[in-house]
Amino acid sequence: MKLSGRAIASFAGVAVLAAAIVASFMLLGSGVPVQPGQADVIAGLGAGTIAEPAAADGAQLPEQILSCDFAVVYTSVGQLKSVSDLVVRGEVTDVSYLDFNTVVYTKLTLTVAKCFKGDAGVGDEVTILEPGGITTQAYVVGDKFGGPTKADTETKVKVLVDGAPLTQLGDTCLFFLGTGDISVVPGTYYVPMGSFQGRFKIDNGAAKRFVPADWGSKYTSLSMDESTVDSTVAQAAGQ
Amino acid sequence: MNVGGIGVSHKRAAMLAAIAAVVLALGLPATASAYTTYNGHVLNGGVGNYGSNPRYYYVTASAGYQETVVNNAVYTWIHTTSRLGITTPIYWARTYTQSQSVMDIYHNIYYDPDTGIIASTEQILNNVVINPLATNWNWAKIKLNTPCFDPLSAYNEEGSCAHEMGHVMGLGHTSVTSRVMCQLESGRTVNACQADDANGINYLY
Repeated sequence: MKLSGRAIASFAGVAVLAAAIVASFMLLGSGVPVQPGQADVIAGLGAGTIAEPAAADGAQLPEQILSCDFAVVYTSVGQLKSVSDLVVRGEVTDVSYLDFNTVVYTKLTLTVAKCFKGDAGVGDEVTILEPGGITTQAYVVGDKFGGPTKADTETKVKVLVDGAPLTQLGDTCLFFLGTGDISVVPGTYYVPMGSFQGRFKIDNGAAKRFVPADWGSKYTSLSMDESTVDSTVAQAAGQ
Repeated sequence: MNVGGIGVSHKRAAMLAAIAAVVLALGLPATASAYTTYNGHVLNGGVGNYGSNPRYYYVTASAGYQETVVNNAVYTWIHTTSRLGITTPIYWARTYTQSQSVMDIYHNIYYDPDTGIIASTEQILNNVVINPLATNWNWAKIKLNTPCFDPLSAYNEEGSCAHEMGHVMGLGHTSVTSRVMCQLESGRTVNACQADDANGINYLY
């Protein structure tokens, strides 16, 4: 088959256009953070999403610990339930990571198995954003020392809030959630109350939350036997 | 016998004194050393040398509105001799050249209010945020999270800044509420470094 000059030109034009679109998407997904000091106005979807195989959890990546100061501590299931908009148990069916204003979030999809408070039905998918996740070294450098190098943008790191482990694909969790309202992602999303304070991983017959080493005796894991999770949460004050 | 009686009395007094000493000793932790460190790890290059060589901090444009709060918090860390009777080497000075700074302060929307995160500190070595329990660091970022930081009282804003600066210098959390290194959520009642916090600095540097 012989192609005419016009057909070849059209084909080339389409190819160039396709390449430009692909390049645009690649740039959007490069994970380059919003530069500190420039992001006083919320930048919508942040600066990019890092495509990371969710199951890997970056176990081999270096851990970067954020030392955080909290405004509130939740010391009981009832207290958590009373302040939450949504209390759900379910399985994490999708995990991804995104940068927003130079911090990193883990974006979870939780498929609901049981709702204790709020409006969610069995099988519904809830979007949850947890502080901490996997990003690139570029987010650390920011605008200091001339900005991130190419190597910084290619080096992945795992950021943990006070050392709290990241939620992983397939985890079964109990979440006490508040409605997100700073537009980290479009649409409705939720955040765990008090960050890791409102997340209980259900594993090995127990549901418990992360306890930082230096938080003192007032804050505990609130560990529950797996068989009593539903009744404990259902009966807790704060419905 | 009187002598013996006196002897018994002395023994009893000695025993009471010993018991009192034990009780006193058991009671001491409430006021004794409460500071914690990151396994002794520090800001490389130290926290300055009071009166001569400063370390520098930088208030980014995003934290411009918090300039007074930041400066006040720095001041309380520096001037411990007159306020607490404890001298430390701490000597911070503000710089307008960010590359010179080892403590950068940012203020922005980072986390949703329901996360409860007032602020975070990132300790950095060679452009890597490190685990301070494992290694020293060269500089640090303090990020004030506006959704949780801005609603605080001026008193607690200053306390939170001072608290994060303690992290930058190598102090960890304590649950004793009368220390600036106690988290606000744990009931911190002060807004500036206290004698014990200053002692922690003197232990490290």
